[in-house]
Amino acid sequence: MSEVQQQLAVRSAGSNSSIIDVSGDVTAATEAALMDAYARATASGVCTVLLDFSALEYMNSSGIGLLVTLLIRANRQGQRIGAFGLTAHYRDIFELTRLDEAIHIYDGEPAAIAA
Amino acid sequence: MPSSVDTSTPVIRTPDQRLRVFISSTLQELAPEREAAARAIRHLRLAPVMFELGARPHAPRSLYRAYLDQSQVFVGIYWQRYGWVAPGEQVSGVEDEYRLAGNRPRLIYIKTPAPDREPGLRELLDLIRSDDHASYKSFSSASELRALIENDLAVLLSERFLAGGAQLLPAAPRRPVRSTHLPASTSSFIGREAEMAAILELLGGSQTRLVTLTGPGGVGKTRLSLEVVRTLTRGFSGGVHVVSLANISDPALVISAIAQQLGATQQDAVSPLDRVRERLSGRRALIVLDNFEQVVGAAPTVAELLAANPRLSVLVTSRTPLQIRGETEFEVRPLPVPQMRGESSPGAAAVQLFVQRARAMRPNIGKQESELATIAEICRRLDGLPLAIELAAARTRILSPEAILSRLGNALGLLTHGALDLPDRQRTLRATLDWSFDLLDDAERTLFTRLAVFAGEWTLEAAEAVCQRETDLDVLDTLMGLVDRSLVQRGTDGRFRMLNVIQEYAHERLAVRPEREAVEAAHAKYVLEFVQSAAAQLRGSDQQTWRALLAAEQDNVRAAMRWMLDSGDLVSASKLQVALIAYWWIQGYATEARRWSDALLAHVDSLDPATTARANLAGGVACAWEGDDASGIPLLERAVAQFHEISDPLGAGVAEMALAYVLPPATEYARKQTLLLESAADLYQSGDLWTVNVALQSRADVALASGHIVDARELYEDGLELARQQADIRGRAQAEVGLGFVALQTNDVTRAQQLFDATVQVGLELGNPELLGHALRGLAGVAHTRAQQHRAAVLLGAARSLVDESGVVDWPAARQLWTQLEHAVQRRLGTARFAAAFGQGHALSLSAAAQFALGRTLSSSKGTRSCADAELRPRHPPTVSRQRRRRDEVRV
Repeated sequence: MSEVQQQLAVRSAGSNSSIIDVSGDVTAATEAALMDAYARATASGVCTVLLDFSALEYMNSSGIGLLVTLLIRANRQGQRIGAFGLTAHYRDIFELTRLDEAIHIYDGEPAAIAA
Repeated sequence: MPSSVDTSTPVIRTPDQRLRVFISSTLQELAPEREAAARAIRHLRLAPVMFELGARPHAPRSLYRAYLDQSQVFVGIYWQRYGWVAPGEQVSGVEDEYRLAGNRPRLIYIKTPAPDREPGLRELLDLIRSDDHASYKSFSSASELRALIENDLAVLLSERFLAGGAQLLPAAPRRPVRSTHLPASTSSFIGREAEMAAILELLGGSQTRLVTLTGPGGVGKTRLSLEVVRTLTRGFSGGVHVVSLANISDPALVISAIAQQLGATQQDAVSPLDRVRERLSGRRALIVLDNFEQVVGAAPTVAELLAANPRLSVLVTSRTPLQIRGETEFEVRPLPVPQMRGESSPGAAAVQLFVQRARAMRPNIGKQESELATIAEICRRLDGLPLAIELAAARTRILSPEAILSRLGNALGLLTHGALDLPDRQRTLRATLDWSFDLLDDAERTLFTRLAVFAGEWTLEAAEAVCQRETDLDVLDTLMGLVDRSLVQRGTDGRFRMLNVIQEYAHERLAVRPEREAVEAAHAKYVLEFVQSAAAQLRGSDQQTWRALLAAEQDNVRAAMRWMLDSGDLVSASKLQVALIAYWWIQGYATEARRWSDALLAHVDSLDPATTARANLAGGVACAWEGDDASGIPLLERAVAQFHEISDPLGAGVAEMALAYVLPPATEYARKQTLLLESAADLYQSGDLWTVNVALQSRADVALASGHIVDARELYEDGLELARQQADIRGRAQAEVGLGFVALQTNDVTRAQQLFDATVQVGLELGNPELLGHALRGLAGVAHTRAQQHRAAVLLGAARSLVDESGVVDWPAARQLWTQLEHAVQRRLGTARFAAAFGQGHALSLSAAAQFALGRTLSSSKGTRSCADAELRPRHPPTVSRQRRRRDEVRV
């Protein structure tokens, strides 16, 4: 999990938020990339990190575990996590796994940034 | 089953468990004095216990008896009134309390002047003055009394402290034992001097290593064996270990019971026999096997045990001899009785026993010649059987000796025509038990019969939960009645038990009652609920207390499990097994876990999906502990799939974590992390954040062990924060230890020491040997890095002892580090010096080890080089370390 084999794009969204473009697969193998992106996203001291799942192709249960880890880390650092761009299928999965109780899901990027 | 009393280590209590001081006095005339006494006691931060009148669900007598039973010191305050005598009683409540105070320290205060003192009280005060074990003082005002009590209690506590203060605090659960194990005894012991001397001589020599006390039930074999053990204060450096086999019916389990009692818990493929041998490590030891007649098939095991341990002696109590080579049979005979009818014979042991037992209820009994003759006749009719005599004497509260003789005579006469296939003495006991049972009222009979469902000891709460099938049955009051009648005995830590012979009798009664199945089902239900709730508490900071409570219930747990499996309640059996996983793991009861899970898995084809999943989880874990990965891994893989199928994320998460734990060390790093991430996802879904943290920190452990230091640090920091949010002290401490090892790995020695020091404090406060052991290992690493090799070796020895004592499998991430560390320190110090320092550390008590660690930390920062040997207080000789199962990476 230490070695960064892929890189996820990070972009700024206003003074208080950053967006991570989560693309491709989210599995245990994504950990290094996701944590690296998270570190970059929060380097400027933003309060909210938004995960853009528009380009997500596949996520399995270890990927959910990864998001649980990310959630705990964000909590530790006093940051909030939100998400948008989820398909109906992954919205269902977020509800089933109760991730939606801690990660706010928005209908789209404008709504997420506005919030 | 095995009863254990730790006499060597301090009891660590929660702050609410203060020493309880019972205040006995009449209520109204001494109201200001009672308040003054309570204030004095509270001022010393002790807990006053006072009986007050008022609407309560129990009879007053039951209440004050229960209160007194749970108190450690007795304070009696008397003035003019003797107090109220309840209907059917011969003495007032105040006098009853004094008599029931027994061997507790008694502080007596008499108010003067007392111009109108009642005759009853005058007699009681005469009795107190003649008692050289009670101290008494006069006072004239409430304020004077307060000063006296405060001062006397302080003196008493100091004296007891100097004499070994733990004895004053017998009521709370204790940590598992390392030395001599002795059940409490409550009954009288009279007239066995010759037997004692003969047995002690046999055991003292080297020729006789197996002595079997034989004789019929109720003759006093168990009591005699325990008195022998009490008298043996020297000569057995390997300890004296009492193993009760009363609740074991399978001869194959005898050796496991012995191993458990010796604390020689499970290791990979090591047989219990080898574990016992390793535990005794050639030292001279005595094992007492009580109630062997139930498992005579295990006689060859005893022979094997003796052959494997040349310095071991075994004392057995059994209704029949073992008939193996080297056995010396010692027939325990009934107490001598007067031979001639009409002879008073006050010196006969049987008569003495009756009189002593009866005087607890009727102080003047046996003072007249004619009454003594009647008692002598009772003893003669009872063949001098101690148990029968105790049962008869217990009736003197209500019946005169004359009445007892008359009723008993009828019962004995009747039964002589009954069970002719029984030997005479067994018929006598049987008839006495029948007689005693027939004298009980309906409530007592009902409760007595239902109590047979318990194996070993039970608590009042358990008795109420299992036996209260009608709302009008007052369990506490009735139970105290059965204690009065010697049918139930007070056990350890406020628990209750029956003598084996009586329990067998009660069980026969229960077996023929239609409610038998319902009572057994209620017992099983109670045990399951207790274990489930206790298992949850094992996670918390009070782990040691709950571990001891679970240990005390093991006979009941086994009985319930057996009943569930036999009666086909496999759903409950699977729930009980899953609830027991953490306890079995902590205790190292792998053989037992495997046996029960195999028994359940034998029915796997007929189980519903949820039960199958639980059975596979328990079975998989048990196989893995036994080193049988080939069976364990597929079971756990099936469990994961089945829990997912039935949408049980908690079960799935636990099974995934267990699977990650049992996968062989060489398994790919990514595979373990993937499993643990899946586990975290499932556990998060279940809402169990505490277990999510276990998964998280397991990930950190795996990362640390695999050299992914940066990842490990982040994950431990995450775990630390999650534990903080949940006020999980243990979780915090574990994360801090992990971070300490991360700091050591990155050469940040100062930070590492801060973290380990903090954990030492937590481990000390919680009395948790596991946490303390890990912290000490960390500090050993710090010392090694600072070139303090001697200190490092002492800390490593102390840590090894503590981790062994905790029973928990070594902390995986740290293990690799300290194995290397031990080798490194040994290389620097040389083998002999390392062994000496390691042995010093190994002998430290928990608190001494903590003080050494912290004290040396301070000294080292000042540059002191000498080792603080003055702080080294030996606890026990070094023992061969239990080489626990060693899995390197993930902890469950």
